[in-house]
Amino acid sequence: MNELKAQSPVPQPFAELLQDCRNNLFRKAYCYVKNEHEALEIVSEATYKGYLAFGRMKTPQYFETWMTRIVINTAIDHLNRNKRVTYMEDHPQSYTGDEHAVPLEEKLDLYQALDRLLPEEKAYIILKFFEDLRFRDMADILELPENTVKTRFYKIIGKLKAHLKDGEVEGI
Amino acid sequence: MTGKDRYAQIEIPAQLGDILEAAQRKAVARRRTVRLKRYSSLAAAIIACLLVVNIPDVANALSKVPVVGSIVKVLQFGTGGERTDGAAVSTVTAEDTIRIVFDQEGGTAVSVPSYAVDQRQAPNRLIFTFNGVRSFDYDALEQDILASPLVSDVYRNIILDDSAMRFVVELKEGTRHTLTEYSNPGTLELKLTAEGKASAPKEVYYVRSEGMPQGESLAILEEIYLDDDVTFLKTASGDFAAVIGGFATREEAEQKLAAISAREDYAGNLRVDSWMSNGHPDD
Repeated sequence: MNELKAQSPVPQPFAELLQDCRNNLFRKAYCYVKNEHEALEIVSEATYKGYLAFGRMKTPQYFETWMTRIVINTAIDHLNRNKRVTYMEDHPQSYTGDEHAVPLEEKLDLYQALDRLLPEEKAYIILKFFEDLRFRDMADILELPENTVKTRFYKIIGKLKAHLKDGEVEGI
Repeated sequence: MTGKDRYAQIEIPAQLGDILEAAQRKAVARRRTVRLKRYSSLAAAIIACLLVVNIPDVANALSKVPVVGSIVKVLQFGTGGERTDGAAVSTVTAEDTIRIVFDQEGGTAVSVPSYAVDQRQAPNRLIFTFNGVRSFDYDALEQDILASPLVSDVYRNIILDDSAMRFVVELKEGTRHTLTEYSNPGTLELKLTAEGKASAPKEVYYVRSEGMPQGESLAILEEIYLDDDVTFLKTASGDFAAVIGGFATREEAEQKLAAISAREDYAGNLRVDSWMSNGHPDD
């Protein structure tokens, strides 16, 4: 995997594994809420859930991948609970294409653009553009088939494109 | 600045570590509550049996006990005490009698905090667990208990709950013991006698973890293998191993390991091992 590296197969305590990735988990949570207090709340809740489920974790070597999934789901629940979302109409078009053919980050401030997305959509931008993950690794985290991840990713880009002024993201 | 740069520059708050530690402590407390609920009905069902089985010769046990409070119960193993928080502990040792005395809020505690005492063989040992004790001077307790000539070793087990305390008292072969719980003041008294005959050592089989230093790794193994009745033994080199058993035959131990390793979440960190009933596991 890219940044989400496999951990040692020797069993390590939860706290030790968490120590190695807690900053990354916080950044992901922060992207959802853009607020330090709420991001801390999300990571704290995800840690609580993760600790309780740690004994049942199937692949301890992918601890960060597993915790990332918990943080993403916790952040989505948090946003849905608090209704702090700017909803937008779904874009019916589906997109396909090579994963390196989208220089979107050069055309658009994706960090700001996160605010335009549904909670369920934010992870695709965070993982692809901020974490530089491959679709295969995103599929592991999101527990979805790789092709489904690709389709949804390009659909989300289409949404962002539709909200920009003409010509701002030419070439996407 | 690109979105990625802004992402990389998200400031990590200084209190992140503390907040995540608090979340883990909360999870530990939650797990303990669930566990207590799970076992409370079972405990109620067997408590009557314990009260009978546990008292081998109450009259004899009490004849030499000086009056230090009101006797609540006499037992060899089992549970007792009352729910407290922040009880302090001190010990008094006189010959073969070790008194664990509890104080609360600067005065003597009326009752003993909630406790459990397990008796295990191979090696012969007592496992004490106290809940609701935050000012436990473990070092003093260890020193006092080790002063008894009938005790071969005392060591601590780590629990993922900072208000709980567990320690193991290994008894010399042939040592018999009686525990007496008192109220007013809350005291637990361990009386040891060398009356019993040492049985011939025999090979005992266990499912065990690797030896490792005392710490959170072991405590997590307790959470994982809780339903397998896991305990913790000091190894020959002074490390500690999680052990499940002991069984009279290797086949029984292998069957147990097979049952554990068939589980989805098994991490592949256990093996079958054996040692003499009066000995310790190797590393």
